[in-house]
Formats: sequence, structure tokens, C-alpha cells
Amino acid sequence: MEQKFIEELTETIDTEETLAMDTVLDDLEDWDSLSFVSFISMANTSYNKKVSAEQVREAVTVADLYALVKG
Amino acid sequence: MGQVTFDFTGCRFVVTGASSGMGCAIARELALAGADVLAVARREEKLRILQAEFPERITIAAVDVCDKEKVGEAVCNFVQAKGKLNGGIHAAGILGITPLKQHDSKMARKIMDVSFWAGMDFLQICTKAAVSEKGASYVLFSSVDAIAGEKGKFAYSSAKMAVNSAVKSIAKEIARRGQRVNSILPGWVQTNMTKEAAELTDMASIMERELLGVGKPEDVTGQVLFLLSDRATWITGTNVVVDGGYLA
Repeated sequence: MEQKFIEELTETIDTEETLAMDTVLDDLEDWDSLSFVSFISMANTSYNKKVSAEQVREAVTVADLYALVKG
Repeated sequence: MGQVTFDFTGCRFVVTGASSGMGCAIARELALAGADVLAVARREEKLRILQAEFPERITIAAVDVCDKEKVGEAVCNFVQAKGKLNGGIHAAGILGITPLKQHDSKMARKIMDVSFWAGMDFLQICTKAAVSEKGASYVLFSSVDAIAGEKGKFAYSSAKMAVNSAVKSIAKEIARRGQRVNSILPGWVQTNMTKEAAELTDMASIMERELLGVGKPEDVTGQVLFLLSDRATWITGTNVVVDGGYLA
């Protein structure tokens, strides 16, 4: 599940860096406003979760994003 | 050989609609200019004829451009074999006549599917960092019909206008990797597609507007190759008209 999330997030952010759960989002060059809205769309379409912009803004690591969609 | 030549040695491009008309002419010119080309179209026998001309340069994939999964597979296989893309051209399109009062709605939707939705899927597949180089350039086929409506062509005109609008939005999304996307608006060019449409079209009024006469595919492909080239690295999100004066 976590691995699948990381693969999908890698594709959504469209980064060539290797993501892990403890990757800090602000360290990623590709974590920009476009990735931000793409993640909200990914949460909705792939996980059926309505995630707010504020929730995403508060996320620091990849694990924080995962917490928003799991369960 | 004209006055301007292109050198795409070491570059890789995907061309949809490559079995005929302008797509075929672009694939051929790119191969002549030294590029490796993935030629995508439904008709395998036509693709094989094209490949036979440039067996070293042209890879073929006989898939329906509306089948996103198959197109994605073909692009991934090509990238694995040859390397990341330097760009792509979505030339696939169908020209159906759809008079408002009595039109085949399936055909009208198919026109939108092939020109617009398949074009969007094509860009989604090809612009990924894992698939394309920084600075890659993409060209989508629009038409002068996006600007000047003709009777019986609301579906075609709308699909082509949708392409024009989309490239402006997508240009902003892909610019972060220096990638570019533009649409091209040809006038009336002699191809099999327009030959069929001509039978149902008032050609006299079109000919009157084509100040420089009917175009040949080669009249348009030069502009496409230019947009793909490193002489166009400051051109993105725009709609380029190549129409023999049709819109003048």
C-alpha cells in the first residue's frame, strides 16, 4: 500500500528523485503549486478522499501526505 | 531540398496519425533529418510502407490513438529501446461533416475524441519526466476551422479550438522543465482526409480564400519541424497559422 502510494505520488509530482516516507516535500524541486493541486486531484480520484489545500499545506513529509489518503 | 534543412540526429519523436497525410510527411521528414521516430497509427500496412523507407530510423506501433493504455505502452517501449523523447506530434484527426440539424452524434464525439482527448492523453504520456528530456517540444494539430467556421463542421471546429485553448494551459504546466507545446493551424491541404471531405464541401468558396492555392503536406511540415527544433526554444503556448492566406 505504502509502496503503491509512493509510486503514484512520484508520477503525480513527476519527479525523477527517489521518494521515501521521510522525504521532506520542500526539499523536492518538483513539489510546486502544480504538484500541490495534482496531489489533491490524486487523493480524490485514486483514494476517494476530499483533501483540503490547508491539509496539504500543513504536510511536511511524504508520510504526512500518505496519512491524508489512507484508511 | 529547400533552403532550410534540419538536423535532428540523436533526437527521438513520437508522431500520431503517421500512416497518412501530414503525420506521415512529418515522420518521413524527421527520419530524413536523422531522428528516431515512433510512428503511431491504426493501419499497420501503411505504417510498414513508411518503415520500409527508413528501417533504421522508424519504429511503428499499430494502435488506436484513443487507446491511452496501448499508446502509453508503445511510447514506453520506444523510450526503453531508444532513449527519452525530444518531443511529439499529435497529427491524428478525422474530418467528419456534422450538419447541426442532422448529424451523427457518435461521429461528432469521435472527432473530439481523436483530435482533442487523445491529444491530451498523448501529452500526459509524453511529457512525464521519466519519458521525455527537458526542453522537449510538442505540436498538436489544430486547423483554420478553429477560427473560421464552415457549414457542417461544428464538431471539427470545436475540437480544433479546444486544442488551441488547451496548449495555452498546458504550456504553463510543462514550462518548469523547459518543455514547450504549440498548436498548428493548417489551411486546406491536399491529403486523403481532405479529399473525402471535399466531396461534401463547397470547395469554390474555400479555393477563393486560399490565396496561395491548395497546400501540400510539405507546406506545413517545415513549420512543424521548426517548432520542434532548437530555433524555437522561446515559442510556447501559441497557435501557429500556416494556411496559404486562408484567414487573411
